[in-house]
Order: sequence, then C-alpha cells, then structure tokens
Amino acid sequence: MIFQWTGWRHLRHHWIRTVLSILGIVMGVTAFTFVPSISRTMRSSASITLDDIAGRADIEIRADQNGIDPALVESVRDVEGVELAVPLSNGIGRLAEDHDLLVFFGIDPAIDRQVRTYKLTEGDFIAGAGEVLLPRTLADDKDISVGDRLTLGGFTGSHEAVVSGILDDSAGVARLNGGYLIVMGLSDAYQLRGAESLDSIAIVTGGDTARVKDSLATVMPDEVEIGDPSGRNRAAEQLLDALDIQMSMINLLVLALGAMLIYNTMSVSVTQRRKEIGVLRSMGVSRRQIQRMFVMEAGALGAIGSALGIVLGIIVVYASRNLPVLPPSNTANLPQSTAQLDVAYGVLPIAFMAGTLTSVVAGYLPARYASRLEPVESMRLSQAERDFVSHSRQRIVIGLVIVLVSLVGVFSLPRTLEYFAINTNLIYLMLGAAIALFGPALIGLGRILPPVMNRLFGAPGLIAADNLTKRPRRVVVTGAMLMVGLWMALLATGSNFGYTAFMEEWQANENIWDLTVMGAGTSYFTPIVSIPPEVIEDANTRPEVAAAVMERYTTHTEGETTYYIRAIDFNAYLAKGARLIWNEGEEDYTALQNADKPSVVVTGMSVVIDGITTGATITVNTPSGEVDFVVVGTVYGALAPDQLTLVMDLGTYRQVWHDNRVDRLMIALEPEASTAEVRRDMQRDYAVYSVAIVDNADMQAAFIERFNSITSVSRLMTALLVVILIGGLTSTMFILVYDRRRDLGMLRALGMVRRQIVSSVILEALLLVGVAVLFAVPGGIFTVTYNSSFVHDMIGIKYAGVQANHVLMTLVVVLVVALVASFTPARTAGRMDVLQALRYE
Amino acid sequence: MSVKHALLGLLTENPKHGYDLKRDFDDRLGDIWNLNYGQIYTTLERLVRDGLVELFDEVSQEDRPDKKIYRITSSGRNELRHWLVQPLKHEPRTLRDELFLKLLFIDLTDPELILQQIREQHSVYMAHMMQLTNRKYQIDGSARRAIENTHDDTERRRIERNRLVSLVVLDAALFHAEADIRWLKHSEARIKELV
Amino acid sequence: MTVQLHNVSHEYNYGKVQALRGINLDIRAGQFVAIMGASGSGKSTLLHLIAGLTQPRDGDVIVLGHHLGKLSDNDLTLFRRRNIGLIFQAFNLLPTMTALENVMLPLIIDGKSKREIRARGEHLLRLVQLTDRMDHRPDELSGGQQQRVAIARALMNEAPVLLADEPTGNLDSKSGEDILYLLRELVERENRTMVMVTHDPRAAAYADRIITLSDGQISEELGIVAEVMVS
Repeated sequence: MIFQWTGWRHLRHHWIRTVLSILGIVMGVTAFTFVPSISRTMRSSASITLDDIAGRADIEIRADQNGIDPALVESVRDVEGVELAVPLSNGIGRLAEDHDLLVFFGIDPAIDRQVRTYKLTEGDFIAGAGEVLLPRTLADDKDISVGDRLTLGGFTGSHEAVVSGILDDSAGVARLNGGYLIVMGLSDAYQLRGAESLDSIAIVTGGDTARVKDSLATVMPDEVEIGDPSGRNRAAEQLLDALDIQMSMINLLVLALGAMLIYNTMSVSVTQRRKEIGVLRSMGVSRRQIQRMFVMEAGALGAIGSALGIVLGIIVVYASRNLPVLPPSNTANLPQSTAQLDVAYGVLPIAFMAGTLTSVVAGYLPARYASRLEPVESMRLSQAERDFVSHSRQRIVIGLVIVLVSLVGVFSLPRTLEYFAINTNLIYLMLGAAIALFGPALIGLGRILPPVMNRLFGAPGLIAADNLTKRPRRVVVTGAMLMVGLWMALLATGSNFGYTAFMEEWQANENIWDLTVMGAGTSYFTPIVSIPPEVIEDANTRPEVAAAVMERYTTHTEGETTYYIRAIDFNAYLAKGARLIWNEGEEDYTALQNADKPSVVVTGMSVVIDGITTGATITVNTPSGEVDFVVVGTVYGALAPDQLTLVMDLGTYRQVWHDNRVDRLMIALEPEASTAEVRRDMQRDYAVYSVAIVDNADMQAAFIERFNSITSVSRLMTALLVVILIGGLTSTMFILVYDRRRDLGMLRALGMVRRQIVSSVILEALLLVGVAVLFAVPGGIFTVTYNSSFVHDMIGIKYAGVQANHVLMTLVVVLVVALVASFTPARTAGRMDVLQALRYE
Repeated sequence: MSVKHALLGLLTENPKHGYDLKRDFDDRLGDIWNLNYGQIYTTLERLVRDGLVELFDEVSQEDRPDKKIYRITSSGRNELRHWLVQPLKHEPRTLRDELFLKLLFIDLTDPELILQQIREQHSVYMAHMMQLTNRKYQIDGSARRAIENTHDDTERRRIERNRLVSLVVLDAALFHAEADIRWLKHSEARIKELV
Repeated sequence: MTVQLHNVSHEYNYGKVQALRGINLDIRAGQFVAIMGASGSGKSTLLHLIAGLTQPRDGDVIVLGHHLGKLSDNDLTLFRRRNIGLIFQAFNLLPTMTALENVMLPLIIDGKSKREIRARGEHLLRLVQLTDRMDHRPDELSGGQQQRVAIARALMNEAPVLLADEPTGNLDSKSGEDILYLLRELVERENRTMVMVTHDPRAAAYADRIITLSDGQISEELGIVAEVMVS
C-alpha cells in the first residue's frame, strides 16, 4: 500500500522515540528467550544428573540413613529379571591441604561401566583399590596428572591413591558436581566413608520392571526405597515448576511493559499525524484501512523489537555461560551436574510471536482512535482525556467484578495448590481494585494534588501534578506496570528476607553450638555411623568443652511412611540455652521429657499434607511394641524441612528403642577456646574412629547454600525487574517530554528557567511512582503476609513476613528508580531550544 | 451615488439649513465623499422644484443672505423610502485608477520606474489606512464616553446608531484600501517576475 | 528608549538564510509598532530577538536598558519573565488548565501563590471580556476567546513591553478587530510598548508606526505623529 510510506518516514524521522518504544518489546523478548533457557538448562541439568547417576538403570534401590549392606547386592542379583545390579557408595571429602569439597564416587570397577557412562581421555580405567579417576576439570584446576599420588581426606581420616586416568567431563559421571568428583573402588570409598555401606544399587531389568520391583521388595529390608531413578528429582522438579511459573510471570510483566510503550508511542504518533490522516481520509481511504495501517505499524515495530530481542537474548545466554547456575539439590543430597547454559531454540518462535502479537494488541486502541478522527480536530484531545477519566461508572463496575472474581479465586483454591497460582489471583485483585478506584482517585487527586504541589514546589510542582492528574491516558498504563512491578519486587524481596530471617532465628536458637561431632555419612546432615562411646567420653572430659549434647538421628520406616527420628538430650540441650523453634503448641519441654508418656514434636512439610496437629497420636512400631506418641506441638526444622521428623527426648527414645547409639554430639566450647584448634585436636585424636568433626559455621554455610540457589535466581529476577522498570519509566518520561514539547517551549517563553523545567519532569516521575507505591505497598504487604502464612503451612519453614526495614528499602529503591529514570528525560527537557519547541508540530 | 437621497435622509431627522446639512454630511461621510456647498445648494433647489423638500423658514442675518431652513415633504419621505428598499445594482464598480493608465504605457526595459510608483502608492494607501483606523478608534472612544455621560435611552440609541454608521463606512474604506494594497503587491510580484 | 537594536544581523541554517542584516531600530516607550513584510523576511526573528528567545549573530539588542547579549540563559529567562508579555499566533495555552489558571501562569512561575494573584487574574479576564468563561478549559473556548485569554496572560506580569506574533492570524475578521482594538487601548491607556508582527495591513493600521522588512532590512517606515503623516 502506497500510504505505508508515510508510516516509515514518520518512524524514521522520530527515530529516538521509535527506538524507545521498541525497547520494551526488545527487553520482553530477551527475557522470553533467556529465562526459558535458564529453566531448560536447570531441568536438563537435573535430568542429566539423573542419567549420570542412574545411567541405564530401570530401577534404583536407594538407601535410607543407614545405608545398604553390600551383601545384599548378591541377593538382588539372584532376583529373577535382574540383569545387572550395580552398587554405589558415595562420600564427601577433600584433597589433603585443599579446601574444595569433592564427591567420592565409589563403584565396582568391573561392572559399573555397563550402566553408567565414563569417557576416558587419558590413562586407564581403575582396576581396583588404590586407584582413582579424576574429571578433566578437577585435574586441570588442581594441576594433577595421570600417575600422581593423592592424599584423600574424608570424614574419617585420610587415604592414599594413585591417579590412573582422566575423564572427559562432557558426559556421564564426570559431570557430577561440576567435575569436582573422584571415582574410586568400593573398598576405598568404604574407608573414606568410615563404613561398609552403599547408597544405592542401580538395576537393569529384562523388561518387566514392576514384577522385579515386587520381587526385590521381598529381598530388601523395609528401610530401603525401591523405585524409579526419576523419583530422585521429585522435589527438584517441584521447585523448578514453581520457579518456572514465577519467571513466566515476570516475562509477562516485561512484555506488558513493552505493550504499554508501544501504546504510548502509537498514541503520540496518531496525534501528530492528524493532518495526514485527514488528508488520506479525504482522498477516499476508508476508516478500516487507516486502522489497519496503524495496527500494521505497531506490528512492524513489534516484529523488529522481537527480532532484536531474540538476538539480544541469545547473546545474553552465551555471555552468561560463565556464571554458575545452581540448580536446587535433589533429595539424595547429591550435587547436581551442571549443564552448559544453552539457548532453548524451541522457544524462539514463540518469543517472536509473543512480542509481535503484544505489539499488535497494544497498537489496536490508538489505531481505532485514528480511524475515528474527523479531518478537523484541534484541541479535542483534552476532551478525550476528560472522557477517559469520567467514564468512571463503567470502570468501577469492571473493577469490582475483577476484585470479586479474584477474591473467590484466592479463598477457594485448595491450599496445597501452586501458591503462585494464588498469587496471580492476588495480582488481579489488586489490579481490579486499582481499576475500580482509578477514576474517582484521579479526580480526587486532580483537585488536591496540584495546589499542594504548587505550595510545596512552586510552578514545577503545579505543572507536574497537573500533567499527571489531568492527562492520565499516557501515564495510567505506566502506573499500572509500575504498580505490578513494585508488588512483585516486594514479594520477591519479602521471600528472600523471610529466608534470611529464618536463618537468623535458627542460628540464634538451635545452632548455638561451636562444633558438632557426627558419625560418618554422606553429608553434614546425614550421619550413617554412630559415634563410639569412647569419643563421647573423651569429648566430655576436654577442658575446652563446656557442654556436649547427645543426639540420635535416624530413620524409621512404618509401612509406606518413613520418619526421621531426632532424639535430643533435652536436659543438656536446654541447659546450654538452645531451643527449638516452635510453631504450634506451648513451648513446654517437660511433656517431652516425661518418659512415661511418650511425646514428640513434629516438623516437616508433610505435617500439613498429612494433617498432623497438636494432640494427634502417631503410632510407631518399636522394639517395645506399638507405641502411641502424642504430638505436643509442631516446630520448624532447618535440617530436613521436607521430611517428616519426630523430635523426642533421648531418654524416651532409649526407653522405647532400647538403643543407646549416639549419632551427633553438639559441642559448646568455653569462651576462650579456639574453635579451629579444638577441631584440629579432635580430628587428630579421633582420626581412628569413623567420625567427622564439623565446624558449625560450615554447617550453616552449607544450609544457606541450599537456599541461595533459589533465592539468588529470585534476586537476579528482582534486579532485572528494577532495570526493566527504570527502562520503562525512562521511555515513558521521554515520550511525555516529546509529547509536550510545545507546552514546555511556551513555559520557557513565559519565563520558566531550565531548572524549573527539569524539576517538573523529575517531580512528575516521582509522583507517578508515588501513586504506584500507594497502591503497591499495601497490596504488597497484604500478599507477603498472606504468603507467609501460606508458605509456612506448605513447607514448614517460617517466614518473617513483612519487616519494616524491607518496606523501607523497597521505598528507597523506588525513589532511586524514579530519579534515575527521569534524569535523562528531564535534562533533555531542560536543554530544549525554545524556538524549536514552539515550532514543533 | 445620489446626493439627492443623502440630503433627503439627513432631512428626515429634523429641518436643517445648508450649513447644517454640510456639517452632518461631513460628520458621517466626510472621509469618503467630499461634498461642497455648491453641490448641496444645487441639489436642494432641485429637490424643492420636485416637491420633495420645502422651505420651512427663513432666518435673517446681518451682513449675510438669509438662512434658509428646509424641511422634507411627505412625498420626499415616500421617495426616500422607495429608494431605501430598492435592491442595489450588482455590477462591480468601475475601476478608474491612474495607475492603470500608466501601466498601459509601461516600458518594460525600465520597470524600475513603475515599481517605484507601485511602492509609493502602497505607502500612500498604508498611511491612509492608518489614518482611517485612527479615526475609527477615536470615534469609538468618544461614542463610549458619550454613552457613559448620558442616561437617556433615546440619546444612547442615537449615539450607538451614529457610531455604527461611521464604523461601517470607515470599514468600507479600509477594506477597499486593503484590496488595493493587495492588488499592488500582487502586481509588483508579477512585474518582478517578468524582469 | 525602550527597545534598541544596533546593527543587528541574524541568520539560521548555518548561514544559508540571512534573516536580518544590519538592522537599526529604536522604539520609545508607549509606541505601538507594527512589523510587516513577506514571509521569510525576518519579522518573527526580530520579535524573538527582542524577547531574548535567541541571540543575534552580530549587533546588540538592548531592551529596557538590559543588554540581552550579556545576560546568561537564566538571566534572560528571568528578564523575560518580568519585562516581556508574549502573545503567540497559536495561542499556546495549557490544555489542562482553566482560562484563569492559564492567565495566572506567568506569576505562578514567578513563585506567587494562587491566592495572591487570583484577583488580578480575574480583573484581566474581565478586561478582555471573558468573565463568564474563567473556569473553562481552552477546548471549550472559541479561537477568539482563546486569544483573549492569551492576551490577558501576557498582561499578568505588568510587563512594560508586549510582543505579539500575528495575534489575529488564526481569527476571523471581527474577532481580530476586537483584539486589535483592545491592544491599542492597552497601549494608550497604560503606556505600554507594543511590537506586533503581522502581514495583515488592516491589523498593521492600528499601529502608530509601521516598519516593513524586506530581505532582512528595513525597507520602509511609516508613522503617525500627532495626526501628521511622516514617511
């Protein structure tokens, strides 16, 4: 069509504005490209890990806390249908003189390669004891070559081995833990671990997996889990799903921002080309053609923006490859393989469509307005603005309907559903309220704000307030975006602060110890071997040790349910000032210490899911027979929040289970003692025993790391959001300044100095943000508080809810956003040449 | 343009003598139409002869001919009324500008002379317009002041009417002058183009 | 001498267009000066120079004793705020403010509160006969009414110098005449100095003095001094 040219010329002429308007789409599509790539990478990392550990296996037998007796492997092999049974024994340790944690991967070298993948690049595969394989990454980082002699240190002392070969860490086992892993024979692993036990047996069947599983159940003890390899990743999958939803919401937000920018630009464009439209109409161009013309322009802008966004997204993905992407850990506490961050190519066409479609939709309203323009329209804009505000009744109704629907959604959705779905409803709630209140609010503001701003800031204040309240069409969409963005930022930071606050509380109440002596196991949190009595006795006699509190930490399987049991010597525990973090029930330890009436407190996610509350009874099959444990309360657990744990007094446990074993010793040192020294001494003295001495600070660090991988992404998203908000606000301010050049020129001609012009632009941005805050902060506080209670119920982790300093910080950030965003547009406005501006059409 | 009807119109207000008529005429139409006593008296005589005006009174003066006061007759009123309602002629007025004549003999190898003439004419017209506008301003001002000073409604209406008439007349002159100026500018452009 | 231009030259488009060449002009207080000329002859430029909206390439512009070339941008703006009343061809009213608010704008910019200046604003609107339209927005006013608001606005700061650029350009003949009449009245009654740019001879005729620009120079000057024509 011939008259498309006019559109191109216009876009080219006002190229700055064109660039600004597609910025939003570019950013949106970039996010659309980048974010799914992260997500996909994390998922593939999770599934890669799966493959790397399980390999070809159809069935995996996984151990509980106590591990699997290696003798059982033979029984497994005897089961009909089992083609291969391959054992695995893991541990954690370090190279001597080194700080980095490594995974020790203990295998049967004869058969393991039939199930798992090993890519040997140098040297030979291990033959047996005393030989180890290193992935290339580890070998390069530590400058180790084939033939070197290494000293490995596990929880239980050190062990020597020779490097027989180097693995390529592009595939298979060598990928685990980012390549920080040592493959060794089972006997070496047992030594480093301190026990002869396995973590898992991977089984390859002939085909009938179900029957084999049933047969296996008869052979294996009750405590082990016989399942699919994919079961490992249950929790991780759930978290990734939740993360996906959160990221999608941010994606949508950014795209909506892009839509708003396009809308603004098209509106301005239509206004400026009034005459042109009039000419075209008088030449016989129909309304529909005019409308189509503008819609196509919007679409073109969107297409360009989307294309750029995709390119930018791909660039960002490649640039981010060096950043560590930490996926959430799986239930077996095995570190994940890290996959190479790669572009999710399948998402690209969708991203392109999304960006273009958004622009087309955004351009629709201005296009319709353009088609309705009469050839002669002078100052009618004011009328349109006033119509915009005054169609309140319609808008109030719509708003209230949205509020009602979302309230129904919020309160009727089952609590165990994705809480993000509920959050979406909350957004609608807030937006609905905002839409309903918008008209009256603006009219009210239009009366109050200008005089107040005039009194406070003089003419710039008046101009800013007047522009905001009397010409709302351009800014209302920006305001809505700001509002939702702020709300999301509040939510995200609220979540983060919640974790941090919980950590602080845990640190203050439970983790008051300096050192923990624990039986050897696979991680800080899962001891397998108990502490020998000699160690306990010796620890107690040390002068530096002020107190040593015993704890039994084990699992118990009751039919389908597996409990963790944590039996603490409460006398000593409480005496030192440690406390559990109570949730429900009275914080009264006397009930727990009454051995005649066995009581427990429970913790864990399943507390909610299984509906266990204070006063309930849990029946457990013990060596003493069936015992009914009374639940006297629920507490927050930091160690294994997703597992149902019964916390009881050690005395009660010993009485019921006739078991004097101790797995952990929590040690408080005398004030002058040096934690590091005592630790070293203990390690030296207890080297012969299978115990690990852990500095509680390290424990805390490990705990924090678990959460950080999630919160770091959340924080990244929040930071990205802030950047996007700044970008969006800047664009809007620029468009506003261009839109009002004539007025600004006139004000300068009347005697407004440059500084006053600059102030008015900045004030307008601040006002805009202020209004958004007005809606967003109460909304944010409400939703964070709501989420706190909700998430607390779901996961059993206590949230801190909204804290004053976090709201304050959000406000500060918001202030900075407004100032930064308005800075350049304000400067441009101030620098304008008066005569140019006055001639501006 | 008929002097006859002008005098008849002026006499409908009240009986007047020649001097009054001259003065009234000048007041209202003096800017665009110069009339001398001779023309007035000649026309008056013709009007008396035709029975449209009659001698009303004679006032004797020392050292001067008697002041004759004239009055309109009923047939005079009829004649006036008849003339007032008659439709105007629709031919455009003839233009007789000396400048046209000069243009006929323009020597195209020295257009500067004619351009100079055009420029001078332009200044004359412009100055004329300034004067007319000034006059308008003064009339309006004095009319306003006069209205403020009187409370009589009839008097007010009379002042208003006179003001209106004067302004309409002056506007006519101004519009014509403006038209002439535009024509001059246009011609100047044409001649410059030709050169 | 209220306005003095000494040997003022101005150009734009990097020297491609000579707007003014060596202009010398003196305007006394209380004079009503019309500046005429073909489009592109530099009329508006002259006005912009007097208003301090732009600086000449050469020469001096001195208004009310202030040498505009020596003032900083800020000082120029302040000078304009207090000493110049501007009337544009396109009325340039703020569409979001009422007529009264638009009129009060110059003094609001100067930091006065609305309370202080309201009475004056209303007085000025009465002067231009818009009493019943004070609370109307520009889009509720006709062209003539908008121009009157602009005039009232130009009077708000009691500026001694009024500059008008084609004030009747967008108006019909009758409305235009009313405006011109009003301007003339203001000049005479309050002894303001008025410089009006126009291409309309009937508008120019309201002035005491008509200056015609041609090719950047003054080609003609006409003036009435006490009813006597001076050419």
